[in-house]
Amino acid sequence: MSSSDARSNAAAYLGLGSVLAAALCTLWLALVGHLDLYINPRYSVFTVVLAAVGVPASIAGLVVIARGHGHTHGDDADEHEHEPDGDRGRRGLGRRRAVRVVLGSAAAIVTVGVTVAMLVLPPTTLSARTAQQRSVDSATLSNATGSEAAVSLLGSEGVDTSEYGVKDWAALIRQTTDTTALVGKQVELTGFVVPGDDGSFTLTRFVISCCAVDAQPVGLSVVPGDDDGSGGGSGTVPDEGKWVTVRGALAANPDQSADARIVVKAAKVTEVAQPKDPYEY
Amino acid sequence: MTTTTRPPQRTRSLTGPGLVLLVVVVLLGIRLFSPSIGTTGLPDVVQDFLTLAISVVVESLPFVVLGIVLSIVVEVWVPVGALEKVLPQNAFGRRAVISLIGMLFPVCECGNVPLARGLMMRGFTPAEAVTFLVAAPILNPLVIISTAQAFGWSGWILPVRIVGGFVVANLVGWIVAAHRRPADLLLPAFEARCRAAVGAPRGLHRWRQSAAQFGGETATMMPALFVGAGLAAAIQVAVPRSTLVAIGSNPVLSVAAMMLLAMTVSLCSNVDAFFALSFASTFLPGSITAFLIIGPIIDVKMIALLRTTFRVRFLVLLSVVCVLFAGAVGLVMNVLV
Repeated sequence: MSSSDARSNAAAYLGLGSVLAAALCTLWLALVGHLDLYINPRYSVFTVVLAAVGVPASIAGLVVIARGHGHTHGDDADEHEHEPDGDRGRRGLGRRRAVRVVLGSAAAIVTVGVTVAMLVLPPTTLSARTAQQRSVDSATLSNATGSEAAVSLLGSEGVDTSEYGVKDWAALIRQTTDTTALVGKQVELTGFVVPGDDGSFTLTRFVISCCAVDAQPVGLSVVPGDDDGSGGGSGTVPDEGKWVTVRGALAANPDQSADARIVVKAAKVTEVAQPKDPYEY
Repeated sequence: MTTTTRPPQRTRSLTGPGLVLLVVVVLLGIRLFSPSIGTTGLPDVVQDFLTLAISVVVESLPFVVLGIVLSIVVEVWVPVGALEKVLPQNAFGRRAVISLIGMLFPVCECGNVPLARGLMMRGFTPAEAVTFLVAAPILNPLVIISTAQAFGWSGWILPVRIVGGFVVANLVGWIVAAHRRPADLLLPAFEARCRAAVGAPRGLHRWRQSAAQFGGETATMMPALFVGAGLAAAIQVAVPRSTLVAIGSNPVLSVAAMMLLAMTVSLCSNVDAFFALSFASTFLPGSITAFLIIGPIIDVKMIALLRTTFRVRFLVLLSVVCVLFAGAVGLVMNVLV
């Protein structure tokens, strides 16, 4: 049964190797501070602790195999021994084994591929393409988590809005029925560009509640400003996906049919480097 | 079990494990000496696919590790009979108690698969293990707290999620128990492994056994996890979310849409409430509840993981029962609440 032994060992190598690689990569990401590219920081501690458990556990698993004690009992290796005898059973068996080999190889390729990509490619954020595809303008995306504070702002001029991010403003604008209170407020916000129609674009951030899979784009429409002509604000839309800081004032949306009734009238649009933590939570 | 036919000699091999370590170290070296962040020039679609797949892996890996560790504890370290003594004799009562085990082991769904395997290798019947598997990702303290944080203690969503999870788990457990041969729902290899493991004398080398078990379980679970992550990411990249979200206000279609969303996004049940919250403004509460019931039980990542242990016919049964149940709960809530 050495072939089935070899196969179950190979499966164990794949399993242990991928745990080891993924766990080390997680620890490295945490070390350099980029774990938040993939998951919400509130799960960092849990993730790091169990990754730290996974490293010695998988090394112990490898050591046990190296010392010849590795009865890994891979489920796939010995299935055929319990199949019915007889010609029909055997023929079905051959087909089933072929299917299993194909599926198993495909799974192995995906495992190796994603593991290698995880370690070799530099981590990066989701692109503007995904933001568009997840419908950045939809009213659905209004009250992403944790924006309860926003409503209390209404009517009270004294509230400090300088810490407000794209998510907070987007939520506030969509929740508000009386938008006159907001018009004229000065904002300075950073996000990436999702181009819109004729000179406008959507200043976008992804909001993450758990991990990048659930990333929801939130955004504010930015229209070119008409006032001081200090550059940037007039007409030219930055390229899709570029990170920019927009300074301007909230204004009523000139397009009455649009979902959002408030837009940012940009006085100044500056291209900036991608922030260290590109997501909001 | 190959052990019965295997020649007695042990193959001491350093090459395999050494090679694995070498590859991992080389990859890690590349990681350490390449820029820590940046773009690679890959097309956006490929890049986003990889980012999404990696994020599912990073998110799920700790739960899978925790699940495997707990399954090793249950299988290797908890004394024979210790668990069984506290459980009621009556089958219904037994399953009802088992569906609350998740309160003690707060593992979300991807960690529950290895734990359920560990329980079956201890001698739990498939019906009991399945009851645990369906109930635990909903009936556990972390999930209840995060759902309460998202939706508040008042209102219908939290109680219906808790009660619904309990009922559907016991319903599925009852159906499996009523099956002519419940063992037929398991993959033959796994069933044989259970038969061999139950009642077998405990080894003296518990640590060695634990390490070997870790190797065996990762061999089964990791490829499934990566495939599940790949599928979830591929669906995310290929299907625009707006097509699903567009039908939020229709009482019937919105239930279907939220259930489809839950099954494709493949979120961990500990955090899915926060995600669902962002849809609360446009979707009816019944649809949100259907999302919260079906998501922890069935999604593309979970199906890949369950496939390591169960036959396709069980997965079909589970999907049909749970989709009908969650859909019915959602519709009733949409009409009544």
